[in-house]
Amino acid sequence: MTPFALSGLLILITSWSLGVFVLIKTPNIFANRIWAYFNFAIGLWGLGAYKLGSAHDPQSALLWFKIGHIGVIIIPILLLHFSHYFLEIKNKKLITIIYLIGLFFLISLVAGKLVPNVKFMFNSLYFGTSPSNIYSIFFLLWIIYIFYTYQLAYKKIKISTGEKRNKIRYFFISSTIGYIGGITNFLPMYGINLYPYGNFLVAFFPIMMTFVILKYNIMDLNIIIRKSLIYSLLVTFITITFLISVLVSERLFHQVIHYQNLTSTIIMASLIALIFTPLKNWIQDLADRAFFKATPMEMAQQNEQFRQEIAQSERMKSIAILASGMAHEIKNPLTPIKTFSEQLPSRLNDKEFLLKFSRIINKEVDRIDNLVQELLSFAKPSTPKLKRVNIHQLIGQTLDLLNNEIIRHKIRLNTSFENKNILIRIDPQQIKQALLNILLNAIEAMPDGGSLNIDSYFHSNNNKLIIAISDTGCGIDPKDLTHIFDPFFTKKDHGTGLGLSITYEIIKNHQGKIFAESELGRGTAFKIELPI
Amino acid sequence: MANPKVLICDDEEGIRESLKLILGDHYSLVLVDSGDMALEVLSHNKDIKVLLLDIKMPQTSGLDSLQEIKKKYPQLKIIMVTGYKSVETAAEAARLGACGYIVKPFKSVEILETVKKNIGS
Repeated sequence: MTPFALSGLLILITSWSLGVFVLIKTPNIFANRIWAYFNFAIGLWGLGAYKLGSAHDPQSALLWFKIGHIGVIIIPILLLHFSHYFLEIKNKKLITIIYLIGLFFLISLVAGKLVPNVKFMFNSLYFGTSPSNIYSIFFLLWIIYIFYTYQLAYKKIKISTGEKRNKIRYFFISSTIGYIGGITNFLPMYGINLYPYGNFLVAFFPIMMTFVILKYNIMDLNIIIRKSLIYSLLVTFITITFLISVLVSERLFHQVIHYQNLTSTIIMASLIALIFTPLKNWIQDLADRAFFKATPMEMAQQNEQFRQEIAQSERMKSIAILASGMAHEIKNPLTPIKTFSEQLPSRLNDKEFLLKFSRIINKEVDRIDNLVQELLSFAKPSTPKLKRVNIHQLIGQTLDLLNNEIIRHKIRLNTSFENKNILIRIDPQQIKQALLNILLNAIEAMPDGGSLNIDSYFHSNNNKLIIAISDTGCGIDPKDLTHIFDPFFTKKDHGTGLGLSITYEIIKNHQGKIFAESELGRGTAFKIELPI
Repeated sequence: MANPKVLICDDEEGIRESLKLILGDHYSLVLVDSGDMALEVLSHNKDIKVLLLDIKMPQTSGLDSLQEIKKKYPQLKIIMVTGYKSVETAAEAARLGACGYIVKPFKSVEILETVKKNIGS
C-alpha cells in the first residue's frame, strides 16, 4: 500500500465514522447534519485517494480521482455553511450561490471537464494531470472559500473576547492545518512534484474539528462527539495495528516457515477481539484526560451535572414560554374588563353600553375560567394512574365523543388496528384527553370535509404500539411545526394553544413519544409511540 | 370638521370594543380583525392617520403586518398593542417603523394620549 493510499484510508475511516455517529445520534439538528455531511465529503475524498493510491491502471485511477473530487468540491462549501452556524452568521443568499457554483463544478467533473487525465508519478502511483481552465477556477475558488471562511473567523475574533475568542482561534488553527494538508494534493497537478504527504493532515482534520466543537461546548453535540471521537480513534488505532501486524507477519511467515496469509489474519483478528474492550477503555481514558482534563469518574459526574443543567434550562424555557403565553391570554380578557369598568360610572344610563358590557365581560370571565381549567390540566398530569386497558376500545370511545363533529364536517373516517385486543398500561382518562386534542385539531383542519385516518401497529421490535393519526386538512406551516407543542402557541382564532402541549406532556409521562409531520395544503400526521 | 380617522386591528372583539369605547367620541373609527383586512381597508381609506395594531394575531402576526403596511404606507402612524412586552419585540417593532407601543390592559387616558400625540405630529 502506498503512503498516499494509507492516508486516504485513514481519512475514510476517521471522517466517516464520526459522520455516521453524529447522523445516527442527532439526525434532526440541522447544524449537526451539515457537520456530518462535511465529514462524509472528506471521507469521500479519502475513499478516492485510497483507491487512487492503490490503482494499477490509469482508467480506474481516473475514475477514483473523479469520485474523490466529488468530496473535494463539496468540502469547502459545507465548511463555509457550517462556519456560518459556528460563527453565528446569517447569509442565506451566499450559501445558495456557493451551492449552485458547487453544482456547476460537479456537472463539469462528471462531464470530464475538470481533470481529463492521470499519469504515473513518484514511481508509485497514478495522479491527476493536465487540469483544465475550469479546474484552475475551481482551485482558485477553493482557496477563496478558505480565505473567506478565515476572514469571517478573523472578524469574529476581533469582536470576541475571553474564552469565545480562544475557541474561534482553535477553529482557525485546526482548519488551517487541514487545508494546508489538502492543498498539497493540488500541487502535483500543477507540475510541483512534491509527494502529497499532506494528505495525512487531512485525516486528522475531522478529529481536530471535533476537538474545536467540544471546546465550543455545543451542548447537544458534546457527549455524542466524545463517543464518536473515542470510537474513531479506536477504529483508526485498530486498523493501523491490524495492517502493520499483518504486513509484518506476512514477511516473517514468508521468510521463516510455510507462508499462510489466512492464518496470520485470523490470529491477528482474534488478538484484536481480545484486546478491544481494554483498548477502548484505555483510549476513552486517554481522550477524556486529553480533551476534558478529567478521569472517567469525574467525567461521569460532569455528564450527570450537565444533564441536570440541561433539564433545568429546559424547565426554565418552559416557564418562560408559559409566562409569555399566560400574559397574553390573561391580559387580553382583562383589557375589556378594565376598560368597561373605567367607563361604567359615566355611562350608567347608556343601555346599549350596559348590554354590551354584560355580554363581553361574561364572555371574557368565561375565557379566563376556561384558561385556568386548561392550565390545571396542563399542570396536573404528573403521574398517570396506569392500568391495563384495551387501547383500541379507548380510541373507539374517543371517536364516539366526536361522532357528531365528524358527521357535521363530512369527514371520512378510516381506521386500521393491528391486534384489536391488545391491552396496554395507560391512564385511560389522560390518553383519551391526549387523543381528543389531536382529533379535534384534525377535525378543525378540515372544515370542508376530508379523510381522518387512524392506524395502529407494533414497532419492529414489538415493545411499542404506534398510533398514527393523519388528516387531509390545511396542514401546518413548516416554521410553525416546531412550536406546536409549545404551551400557548396557536394559530386558531379561538384557541388557548394548550391542547397539544397537554397531549405532549401526557405522552411524555407515559414514557412515550409523539411526532408530527405536516405539509401545507396536504394535511398533518401525528405518530404516538406508547410502551407496551 | 370631521374627526380624524383611526384604524383598529385586533382579532379579539373585547379589545376592539374597548378601544371603540375609549376613542369613539373623539375619532372616526374603522374596526378590523386581521392584518389582511387592515391592508384592504387602508387601500380604500387614504385619510386614515393612525393604526392601532395587535401584535399577536392568529393568521398573519402583527409584526409581519406592520412590515407589510409600512412598506405600502410609510407615512401612516402605527401603534402596536401587546399583552406581553419584551425588549426584543419592542425593539423589532421600532425597527420596523412602529411609533408607539402600548401594553394591555391599558388605561383609557394612555390610549387617548398616544393616539392624540401621533395624530398631532
